[in-house]
Amino acid sequence: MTDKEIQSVVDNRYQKIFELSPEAIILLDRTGKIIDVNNRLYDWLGYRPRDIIGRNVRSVSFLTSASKVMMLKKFSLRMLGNDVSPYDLFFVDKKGNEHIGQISSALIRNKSGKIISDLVMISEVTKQRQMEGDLKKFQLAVEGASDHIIITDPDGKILFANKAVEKITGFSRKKIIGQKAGSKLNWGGTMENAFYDRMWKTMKTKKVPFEAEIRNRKKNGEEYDAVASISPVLNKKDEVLFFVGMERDITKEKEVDRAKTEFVSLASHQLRTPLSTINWYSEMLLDGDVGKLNKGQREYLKEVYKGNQRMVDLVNALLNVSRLELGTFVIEPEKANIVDIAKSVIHEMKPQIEAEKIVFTQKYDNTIPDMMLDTKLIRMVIQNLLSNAVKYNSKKGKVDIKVKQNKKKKLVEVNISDTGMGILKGQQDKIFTKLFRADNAKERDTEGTGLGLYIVKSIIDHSGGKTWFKSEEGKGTTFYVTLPLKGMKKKEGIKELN
Amino acid sequence: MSNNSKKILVIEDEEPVRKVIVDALQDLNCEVLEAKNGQEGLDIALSEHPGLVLLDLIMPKLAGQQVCERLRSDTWGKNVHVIILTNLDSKTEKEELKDLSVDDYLVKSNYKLEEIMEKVKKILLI
Repeated sequence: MTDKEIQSVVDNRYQKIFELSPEAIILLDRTGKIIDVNNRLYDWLGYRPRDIIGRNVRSVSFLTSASKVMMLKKFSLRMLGNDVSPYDLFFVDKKGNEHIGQISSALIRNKSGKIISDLVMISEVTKQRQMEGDLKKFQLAVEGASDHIIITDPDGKILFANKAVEKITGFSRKKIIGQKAGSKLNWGGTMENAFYDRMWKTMKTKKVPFEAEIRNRKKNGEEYDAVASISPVLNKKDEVLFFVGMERDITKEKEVDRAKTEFVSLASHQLRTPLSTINWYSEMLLDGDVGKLNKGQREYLKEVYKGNQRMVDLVNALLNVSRLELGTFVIEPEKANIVDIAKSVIHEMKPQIEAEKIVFTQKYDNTIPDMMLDTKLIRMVIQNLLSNAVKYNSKKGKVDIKVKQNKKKKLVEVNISDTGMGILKGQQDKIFTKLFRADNAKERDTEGTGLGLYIVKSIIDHSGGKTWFKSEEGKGTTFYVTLPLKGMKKKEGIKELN
Repeated sequence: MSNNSKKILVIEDEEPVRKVIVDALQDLNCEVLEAKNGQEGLDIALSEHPGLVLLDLIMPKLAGQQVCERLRSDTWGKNVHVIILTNLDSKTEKEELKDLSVDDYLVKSNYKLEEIMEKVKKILLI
């Protein structure tokens, strides 16, 4: 190969690199005029080489004006032989969309060392910059969040803690990084060991998020309540990469709850005292304890007694609702048979059923095993549904109760149907709402509280079951209640429902 | 049971409530003693040794819970029948008093006077 041929191959090779480069390359002369450009700029922004060769960068339309100013500033520095580290410019394609390109350049000198040209390489970084921007946002969000957020390695050693961790716990981040999260060294150690065992088992073995109320200790020794939610982040092989733990300080909320509970308890006491007085005095009067009453006196007094009894029921119902809402009521499941409970409620309601001349039918699956049930609550559920079925029935209507089990779904189901007025179509979605009473029910019975079905549904929801109904206006309603065969979930609390 | 079995002590600070209970008990031909606060009730109980104490909880001077505790720490009082008659129904109180082995815990507004008298009769075997 002759020198000339070698030179030609070499030149050609550079030509190839120029054309095949994944980056857009623009060659500028000392004045900023575009001498050459490869096809990437066309692929990227839609400008053909012939459209732009020969133009000065000052007058091109693929750069935003701010970017042009920036580029010319950097270009003049380059022309003076200065090093310029890579920088970003904003480009606009032919359709008007904005792109971000990272600029790096190489000076080309002649044999005597004079700068004759600048080779400008542009790599598109739009997506990368957006992702970096998103990442920055996430970082700022996590860092600035008011909840305590930490990231730990699979052994629970703290890799990251946000600002709120310092604020809430009082421990400096420098100190806790590398420590086991929630250990005695930092904010943990106040719960029983069994709690921490359960927590780690849930996350490490079962690999599912762990959520619980937890009591922590600040650096100054003060204890506080928090809701903790810790999630394992897994790779494709289902191995734990790290844990993300979030905690919210709920000390204040707890205080408010306690205050509410105390208020309800006090109010209940204050309301009930005069009610029991009225109750007992009218009872004594009705019994003729202080002399026989005439017919009219008796009648009037009976109304006083009845009205007062309603008030007692109302106070009890309102207290139940407040307990359901505050979550302070208990569920204490014990071995019991749901069929026996149903039968005993029916027995108790016999006078009511007979007074309304209701045709009553019942059907039980006697193979239903004993389950873990809170008898008092289940009684309340059945009693509420039955008394509605009787109260809102037609004259000499029918009421049917069925208790059956679905072994496949592992459920027991209680169905209570009536042939009564039904629930108005437009009001069916509100029927479980607290204090709501359907218009036709209000007409029939002015004394209902609108709390019964709300209480039923709350109890069943808290017990792991479901409540629903089917109803047709003028024909009747069937209520369905299911409970898991394994029974009701135990719930700690301080109040019972009445 | 001792010969005091038909003597009943009512410890209740609300006068109208106390009066109606006392009236109803007298109808059972029982000897009825009254106290209008916890301290007075405890003193009367320890000197008069009634067969049954009907005890309110929220009271001035000494709360029902404390009256019950002190009774249970007394050699005579540890066996006396106690029925709690209150309008408090929190589980904590109920359990606290069950631990002090009271015979019954009744929420006043949820019981007829008649029903309470039935419970009294059952305990005193009358």
